[in-house]
Amino acid sequence: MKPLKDMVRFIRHARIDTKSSMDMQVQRKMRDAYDDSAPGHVTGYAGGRIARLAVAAVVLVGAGVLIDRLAGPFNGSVAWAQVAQRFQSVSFAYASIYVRNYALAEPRQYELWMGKGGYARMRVGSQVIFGRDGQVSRAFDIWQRRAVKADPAAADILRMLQTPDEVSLETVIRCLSGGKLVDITPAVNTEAAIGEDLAIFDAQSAVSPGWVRIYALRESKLPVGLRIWDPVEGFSVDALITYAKDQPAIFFDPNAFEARLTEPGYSNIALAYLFLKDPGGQDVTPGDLDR
Amino acid sequence: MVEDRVLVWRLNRGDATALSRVYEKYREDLLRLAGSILSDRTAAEDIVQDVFIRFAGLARTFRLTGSLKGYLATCVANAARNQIVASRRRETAGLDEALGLASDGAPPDAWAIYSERFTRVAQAMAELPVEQREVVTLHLYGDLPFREIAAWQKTSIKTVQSRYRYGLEKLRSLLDGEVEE
Repeated sequence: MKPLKDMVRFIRHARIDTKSSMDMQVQRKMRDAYDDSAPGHVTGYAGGRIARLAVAAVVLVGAGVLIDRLAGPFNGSVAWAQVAQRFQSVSFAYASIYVRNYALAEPRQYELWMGKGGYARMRVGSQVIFGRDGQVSRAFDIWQRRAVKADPAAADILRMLQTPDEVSLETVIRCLSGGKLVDITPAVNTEAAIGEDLAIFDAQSAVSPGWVRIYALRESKLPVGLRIWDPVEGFSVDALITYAKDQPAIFFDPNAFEARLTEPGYSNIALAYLFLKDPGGQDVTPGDLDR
Repeated sequence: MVEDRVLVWRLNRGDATALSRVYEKYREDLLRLAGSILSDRTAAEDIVQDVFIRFAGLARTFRLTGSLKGYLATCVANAARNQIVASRRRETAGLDEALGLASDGAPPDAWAIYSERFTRVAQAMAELPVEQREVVTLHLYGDLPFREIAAWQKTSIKTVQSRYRYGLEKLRSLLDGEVEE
């Protein structure tokens, strides 16, 4: 038997190496976490949670869940329940969501497509993520051209779409106000609605200056925009929600996407929006238009 | 130690470039630590990544009271222990299968590239009881003194020293033929 000190040396000198691409990825995430914790930001993990909740709130507006919670008269003529009901007749919705963690930060964009049957697809950074019934089916990185682990915030959003009880307007407000539970009373803001065809609802935190504003069309009764704003930190979420004809099933099919992923003929931009059709049924990506 | 204090001082003052140095300095040891305790490569890498990111999120207000490496190593060990407990709870198959203890293959998107020697060490570590594995790896890869490991394991220094010795002897019986003079 060798002396134990030789065993110790053997263990200590058992080396491992790391892949430089992963090193860069981890360091980038570290940098993001560090930047998010800067003075003036919503600090630490709470900030991440708030951002996730806020984005989820936007999603839920699109899904009609949050609207149910804003039950009540809608400018005297339209009720939120009507809006929710109207939304349920829409087979496809798209939300472009910009989250800014503090006043001087660059916003991060989340693109979300929601189809019938619980199908969803997201693009965040260079990732394209497919979901079904609140779960991530597959996630791919366009730069790396391979399957990857889904962005955690995107995975949370997809999950929370199926668990609306975890995310409500009250939850968002509570987080924005530093964890204190507050009563909120959404109220119609007639002064802010300059155009008569636009109805605006505001929800104000009772203990912090943070507020949520929801824009809806009076005629179609559909929500089209949302803004969350915390003037203390400059934290904000801006979302634009649009509606179109349903997308083909292949748009939500991760296997079809993966099959194209390694084909050299597809540019990165083409992959980001692969199989997306505009309302007229046309392909929209440069790669598609080239063919 | 002095360098760690300077790194933390820089991070406290908004110098993000210090993060890279922390990462490069402790990446390998933390991956070896997690890889030795869990032997599940994917879970081990996820844990180390998460610890680095959490540290970065706290770095502006982080106060260094001991060794930075010891702090990070303890975070990794805590997460690894939680992983083991969680795996045991949801285990329906055998423990080895649930923890991936028998697995030595690298997933295609793996972060770490194991040397042949480390693969052998990790396989041998998997033969040890968890408490012995924690002591050996925290001491050899985390540079934690027995006193701190004892506090972390909520036991006496003597127990920790015994676990270390029994663990090393077991490893020697498994790896003796491979250890050079």
